[in-house]
Amino acid sequence: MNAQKEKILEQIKTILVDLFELDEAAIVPEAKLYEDLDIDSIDAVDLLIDLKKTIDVDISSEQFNDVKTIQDVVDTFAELSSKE
Amino acid sequence: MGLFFRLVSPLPLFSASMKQRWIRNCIHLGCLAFINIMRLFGLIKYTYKLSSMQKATPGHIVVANHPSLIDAVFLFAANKNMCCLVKGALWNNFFTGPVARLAGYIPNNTIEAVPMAVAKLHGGENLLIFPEGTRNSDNNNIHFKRGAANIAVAANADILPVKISCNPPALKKSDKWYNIPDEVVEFCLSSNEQIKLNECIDRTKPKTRQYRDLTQFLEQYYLQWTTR
Repeated sequence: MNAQKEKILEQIKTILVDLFELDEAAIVPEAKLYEDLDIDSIDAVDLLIDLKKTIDVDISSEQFNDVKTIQDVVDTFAELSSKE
Repeated sequence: MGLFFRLVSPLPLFSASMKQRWIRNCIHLGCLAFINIMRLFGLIKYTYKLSSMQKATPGHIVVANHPSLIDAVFLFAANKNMCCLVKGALWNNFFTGPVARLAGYIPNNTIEAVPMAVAKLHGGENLLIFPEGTRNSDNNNIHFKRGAANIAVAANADILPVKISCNPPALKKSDKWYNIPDEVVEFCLSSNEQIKLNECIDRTKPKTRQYRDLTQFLEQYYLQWTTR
């Protein structure tokens, strides 16, 4: 994982802890949002709003629908921010 | 029934809201007739203690526990014009689907359910939700899904709690509908005072935490209320 992805992962961790009172140790790249972290589709909408505020990229909710794990979130955001 | 309502839906000259009011009234009267026939045959007894529901300001969410198959019937029999969040399976069912659509109910299997529910609540309708999602199969525990809290927080709507009790337990999830107890089944529906969101959760927290806090609050509320 490169430095940029590391940074994004840290930002995601901070937001997840803040929004869902999750234990930071549970937020590992392979953790599944729905099954492991109890984040449902409505939570995902709120999560996306906060992520967009922190990491300045243009992502549609359709693109975000495909993410399953924390790693997917990191990859999606890394890819989009490198385009800009 | 489904066929009848399918024929009603394209009727011209009548506005959608008029048809909705008409269908909801039909549902109300049908439910009222159903429970009275059941009572006449000596199958059930029922008591309503819903004065706080009748007095409540409109635009609230009616939340209820879900011990038996016919809980919704009792609530529709008590309310002339109530919206309802229905399971996706009922929404897509050949018989119940058209009725649910015409009555302006909301399916729970779409992300659009929350904004739809918020619009109904802000329009002054009351919305019935069983947060357990389906009939409770474990009487000693209560587990609520977050949907009711999602909608309440998004709409800033009050909650009107209803407790349904059914003695002896009948028409449970695990029962076949024709296997009923030999004794008369006694239903009792009681409602408490309206709950305002800012009285039970911290509204300054992120919404995602409010959903969880409110769900937990309601679970505790019902656990205490139903075991009392």
